[in-house]
Amino acid sequence: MKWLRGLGTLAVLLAIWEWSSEPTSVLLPPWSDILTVLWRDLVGGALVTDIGYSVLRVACGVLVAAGIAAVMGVVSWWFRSFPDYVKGVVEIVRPVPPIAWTPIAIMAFGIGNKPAVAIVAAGAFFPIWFGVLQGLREVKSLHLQAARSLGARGRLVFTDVVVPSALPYVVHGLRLGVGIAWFCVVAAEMMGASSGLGYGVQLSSLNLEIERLYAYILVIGLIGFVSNWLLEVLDRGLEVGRDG
Amino acid sequence: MTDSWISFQGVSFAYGRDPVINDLHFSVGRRCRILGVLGPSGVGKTTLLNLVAGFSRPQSGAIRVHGREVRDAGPDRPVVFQNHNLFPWMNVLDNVCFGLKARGDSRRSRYDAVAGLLNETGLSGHESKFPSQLSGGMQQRVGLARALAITPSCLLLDEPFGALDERTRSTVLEVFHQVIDQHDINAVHVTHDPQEAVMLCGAILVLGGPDGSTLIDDVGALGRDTSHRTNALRGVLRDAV
Repeated sequence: MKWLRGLGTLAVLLAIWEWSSEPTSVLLPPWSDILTVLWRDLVGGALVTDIGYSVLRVACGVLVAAGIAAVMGVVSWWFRSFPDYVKGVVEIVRPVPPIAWTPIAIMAFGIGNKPAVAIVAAGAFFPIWFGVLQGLREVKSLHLQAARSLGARGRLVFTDVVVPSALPYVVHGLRLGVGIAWFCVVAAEMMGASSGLGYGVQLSSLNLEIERLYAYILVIGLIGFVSNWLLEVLDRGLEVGRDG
Repeated sequence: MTDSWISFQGVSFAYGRDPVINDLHFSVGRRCRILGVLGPSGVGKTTLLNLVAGFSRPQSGAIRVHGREVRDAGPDRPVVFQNHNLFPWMNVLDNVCFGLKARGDSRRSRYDAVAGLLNETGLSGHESKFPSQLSGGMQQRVGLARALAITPSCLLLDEPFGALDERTRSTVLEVFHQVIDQHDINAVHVTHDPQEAVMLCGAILVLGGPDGSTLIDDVGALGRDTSHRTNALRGVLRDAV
């Protein structure tokens, strides 16, 4: 019942917030007011549309990042020195905050979905790539020997031994990547989009709609929580492949 | 020599500058179905098995199994590993069928092909379980069934019973005996247990003696029963140490 403890802490914090806040407060409006705005925006459809845009951008960005990491993973398996060739570039680009690419992304793709997707992909790529690399390193040579001694070669070894061996590490990288993707999409939408949750945060702060601002932040947190939980379930499902 | 199912001709192997096997010559005739390999720890028993499996290549010499020179790993010489080495992401059925999948058999035909084998090895009813849900003895049976499913001409056993407790070991040993007899195949059996070697093997190679290695090509000649043969083999092993 660990989750109950976490829920308890959250409930206490919200109660303190509600008790200490005032309806006119700019910094801490009451939770009841935030939830009212949240409900109104959900029913009105504006929030749903913004959620849709952000989820779409995150999904596309993560998909692009995972696709590139997967292709690089396949190349790395067949050409073992490939990671050495890309290491220099990766290590120079990795420390750059993805949001620093925003001006370049806007110049390259204009305003809209594309720059946000590009920034999300840039942020999500590195943890996924490191998950892929770690996964490839964790393939047990004894499993490869067993497969070879049973007559497996090339593609079958890759699909039936290498991929399942590496998958738990890839999913772990994916979890980290999705978390970073949410940072990136909000930041990207705040700077160069006219829709999405980040845009909503930016707009409500400019209009001093503090309840709406908190409602958007709450939704971002909840979506991040749910996506992480879904990937955690997948991660745990793969644990069967980690022992033995 | 032509009657032998396995032969080493001047085989040498070294890890870097450390020689492990040096100019090894021996051959085992077809009347000895199982060749046991014994010797002190670190003498190169597993290295020898890896050479026969094709996981390593000798620096010189040639190894032949059933007349064919070993150049790479292959399904005619599957390995049953000490730590089972099953694919933990596959259930029992898919583990056992893996070699048949590698051969290109359809899903239906490979499931049909292993039904009898699963029964023989006492795995019926456990097909959908994953290795982590099985005991060590059951995992070893899966390892054995996985190797036998592809009907190999030679099995390579790397201390397959070493990690099992005494009771499980005797049960698995019995299954192993029956299955090897029924399938009429040869085996190279690496073990550190002289009694197990005497009970199972027709010929025994003791690695690491003062004169290199000693091949006992007729275990029956060591003594009148298992106990005498085991004691005699222990003597040979002491010399090797």
